[in-house]
Amino acid sequence: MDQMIVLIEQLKRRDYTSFDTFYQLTKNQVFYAIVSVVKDKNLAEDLMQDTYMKFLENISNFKEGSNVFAYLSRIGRNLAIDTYHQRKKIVQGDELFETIATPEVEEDRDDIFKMLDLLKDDEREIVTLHVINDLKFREISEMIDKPLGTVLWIFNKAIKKLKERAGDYL
Amino acid sequence: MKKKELIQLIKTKSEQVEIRDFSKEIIEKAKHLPKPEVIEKTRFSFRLKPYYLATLGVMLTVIMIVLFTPDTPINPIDPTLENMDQVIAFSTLTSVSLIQTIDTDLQTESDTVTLSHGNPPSPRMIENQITDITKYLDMMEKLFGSNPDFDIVLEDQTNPMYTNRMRFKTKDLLEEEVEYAIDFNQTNIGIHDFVIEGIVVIGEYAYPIYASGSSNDIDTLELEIEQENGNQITIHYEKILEVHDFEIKIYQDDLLIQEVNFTYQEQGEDKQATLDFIYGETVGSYTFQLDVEDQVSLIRITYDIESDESESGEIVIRIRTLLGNTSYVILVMPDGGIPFIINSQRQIRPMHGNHQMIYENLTI
Repeated sequence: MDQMIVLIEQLKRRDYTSFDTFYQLTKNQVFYAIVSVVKDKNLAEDLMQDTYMKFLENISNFKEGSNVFAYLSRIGRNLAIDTYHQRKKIVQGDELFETIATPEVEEDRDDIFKMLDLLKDDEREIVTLHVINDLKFREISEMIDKPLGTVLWIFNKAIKKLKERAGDYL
Repeated sequence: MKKKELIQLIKTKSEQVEIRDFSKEIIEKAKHLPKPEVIEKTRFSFRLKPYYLATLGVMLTVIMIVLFTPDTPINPIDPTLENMDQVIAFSTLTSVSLIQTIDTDLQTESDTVTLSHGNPPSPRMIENQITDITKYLDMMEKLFGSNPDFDIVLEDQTNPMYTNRMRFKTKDLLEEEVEYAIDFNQTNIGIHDFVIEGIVVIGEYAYPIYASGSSNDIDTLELEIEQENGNQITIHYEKILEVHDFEIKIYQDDLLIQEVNFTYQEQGEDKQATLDFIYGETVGSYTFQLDVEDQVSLIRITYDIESDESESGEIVIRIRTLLGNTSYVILVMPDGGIPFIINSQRQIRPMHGNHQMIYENLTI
């Protein structure tokens, strides 16, 4: 975490010499926060750039001691949701991202996406944010604006569901 | 597959995804970001523009009218407690179960807790939390075992000190019933708000209660219950969709010792509760579920403890009856750790006995 503090201090001074290191340390969290909403790998990757730009633009607002992974996840998630709403206006479909997602051959898809597809939207997002992005339940509760108990409930339901099916991906 | 293995599998699979590297493109774009501006603080000057003055004038007029117009009679519409019975029963049951437990804690403070540890391979964080979790078992049993409407009855009041009486019943997992009586006075505040002050009686115990709510929002209630010695429970209850959500604060000797978020939900036959420790020495998040095995009810808990390190696992709680006494047999199975059993005396309702716990290692 000390390394992260130094990196953020550099970025605050608009010194990008170590940005690559910062990117490598955080890209997974950003990617998964987005992809758990948009369910499309290519679109998620596109939104990653916007997420980092937004982070850098507003880096002066980042408070020392805050969880940068949670902060970036929140920006990525919000952008993903905005994109969802923008595209909804165009597509006007109920199952939006099933409609707009680039069709991929099932066998070519990474196992993690197949596993997460076993879950409902809210389950997938909470599992992603807790297990992959290492966010605490309380941070997730604030981020998705759901009571802590509900977050725990959904998480445990999702884990139960995955326990029964995840063996296929071993 | 165990939970820990599953979580590891998700992490591993997530790392296998190749994510394109955009760092160079981002750096290129970031170079065009404006340099952070240094904003000089300007001296504050008080300049009211005409329209601000107009707005201020209207606001002052309204305030004057409100202050100096004589009170107009308002049709007295009593806030009704109809449909809030269950809310009150829920909140009372929760708070009473807990306040009786604080009492137990105080009485047994000097008692020696018997521990017969083996040599666990690694420290188990759950061990430090178990005592507090068992304090919530009384409440869980009653929520899981009772009829959904708690057999609520509104009765004529015979106690001259109070105007209203409400009775309700709970059942635990051994089908033992406990009856609660709430004697209270209701005071209406304005058109919709109300407060109730009274006592809740359970067997030989009685506790003063104070609650406030609004007939405009029948799914929310603030409730306080206290003991003479300064122990107090405050509850903010809210029903969010079908989830009963409680923010519970426990005060001992007027000091906040624990804050938890507790939820309870029923979906058909499925009953589930979550308990999350927010403030205090005990930590972790726990999901309770009622289960039946060989026609015997038991409680399953999954837990996650997050601090500097994290631990998760499962707990199975069975009730054992021996020579007329009942106790909890608590099987704790930390993910990746050695399972162990804790025997904890089950509280005898409505009185509570000693809170002695005996730990055993379990070889499976």
